[in-house]
Amino acid sequence: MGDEVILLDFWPSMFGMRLRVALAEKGVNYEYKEEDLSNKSALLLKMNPVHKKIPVLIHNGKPVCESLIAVQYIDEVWKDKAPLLPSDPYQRAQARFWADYVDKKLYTLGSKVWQTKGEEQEASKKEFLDCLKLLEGELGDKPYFGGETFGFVDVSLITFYSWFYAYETFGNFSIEADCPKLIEWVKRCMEKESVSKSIPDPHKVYEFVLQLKKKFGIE
Amino acid sequence: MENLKFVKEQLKGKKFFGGGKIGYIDVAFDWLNLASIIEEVAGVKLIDEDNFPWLKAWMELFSDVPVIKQSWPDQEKLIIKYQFVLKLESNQTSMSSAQEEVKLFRNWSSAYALRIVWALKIKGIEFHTIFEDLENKSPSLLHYNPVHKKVPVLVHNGKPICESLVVLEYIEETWKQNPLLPEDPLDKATARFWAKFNDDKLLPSIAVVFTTQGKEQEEVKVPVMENLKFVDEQLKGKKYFGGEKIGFLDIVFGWLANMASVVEEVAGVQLIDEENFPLLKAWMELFSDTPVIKESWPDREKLIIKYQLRREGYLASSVAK
Repeated sequence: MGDEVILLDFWPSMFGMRLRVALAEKGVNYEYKEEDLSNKSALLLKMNPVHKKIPVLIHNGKPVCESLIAVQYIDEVWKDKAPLLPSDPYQRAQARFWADYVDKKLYTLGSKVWQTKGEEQEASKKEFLDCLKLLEGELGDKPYFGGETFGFVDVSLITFYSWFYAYETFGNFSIEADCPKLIEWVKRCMEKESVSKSIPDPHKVYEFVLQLKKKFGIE
Repeated sequence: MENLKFVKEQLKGKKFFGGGKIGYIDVAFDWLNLASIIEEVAGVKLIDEDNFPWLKAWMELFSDVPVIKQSWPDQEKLIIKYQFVLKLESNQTSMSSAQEEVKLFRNWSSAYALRIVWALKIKGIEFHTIFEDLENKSPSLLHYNPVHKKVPVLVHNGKPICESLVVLEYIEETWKQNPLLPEDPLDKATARFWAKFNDDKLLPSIAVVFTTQGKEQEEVKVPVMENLKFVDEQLKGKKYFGGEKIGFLDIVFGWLANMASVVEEVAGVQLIDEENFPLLKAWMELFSDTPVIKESWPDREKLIIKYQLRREGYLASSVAK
């Protein structure tokens, strides 16, 4: 009896990438379906009628939406390999808290960095770096946010790395200059095949953002 | 044991502490007859023949003296009394340690904090509440939630957990009685999806209605109706979102049962009516009627006043723009 696993995704989405990484960590075979967000498929609209967004994980015909919820689902279903959440309830709560922090802050602030100019951009850059510094502090001396092993918070955050080059170029700043330990952690994660094969080349993402800016008339 | 050693040495070469007959010190030590009662009730050996032969001998001699023997209280009654005292003592210790173990930082009106109150009560967990004045946050709150500086915060054995949905999952995983989440991963993912929908979509959309009026309010009411429709559909064929009994999702949507009517009254708008949302309406009544939910509602009059002031503030600032 085989599992049928389909992932509805969009290649530059840092949220979709989380599911790619999680599925790779667990060694799950799945069918990747690229969505054209300007022309969403009937399958996507059927599987995510509420938000009509990617990523959507479809497991044996049943959809799971929202990336962190889907990562937890993957962790619970394929529980015999590479656990992403720790077993202790307090550690789990800490992991969920920090993944939620990434969700609440990084996407919005990162978007502001490449979408704005002047004072607004400067303010966004500062806030964005402050968030990364807080996360860097939380990492501390551990090899991963999950401790000795790659875990839930690592999955949640590493996918944003693919957008760092775009943020840095449009924002004219260096993330490594302010958060060297975080970049060390990035390099450590990128050594894992499950990560490097799931995350697109940051330069490709930059090109994509450039196209977006042209399309929406953002200078 | 050390103290008893000192006492026994006082008996060296003597029949009684007072020497040849009962004296002042014998009377002072007479309570040692209780030693056997303590030994029986607390299940401990204190005065045995091997370690304290003189003391044991004195106890027998002392007890045998008529004027002493006739005054002893009833031994059976004493045993019953001290068994009861011991039980009371241990209850108080466990209650006070439970209360020290679980602390909830909240304010009087926060719907997010109410979720935690309900979850703890449903699971029968003793907890101690600290009410915060959010205009003047305590050093403890800032210490326990330095990132967001918000309520609710649950502190369990000195360790803080923040963000209400994270706290709910923590409570569920730590105290397994009266489970709130389903076991099946897909059902769990679905519950988590709707919880996120409430926090990211439904609640903010209702908040926007609350801060607007007139034509603008009519426009922003549209997404609220759509959102409520999705929620209403989740109740199809179910008594509660959790099925036969209150679960995680009921606790997350619970704020609707109390706050929706406050928003409706203050903002002068109809949101959840019987005609459009029959299932939701029925659920709100059922949910509100549950004792553990009902007893925790913030004061409605206070809520009306608070939100009236808040709405006036929003409308004034939007006119100023």
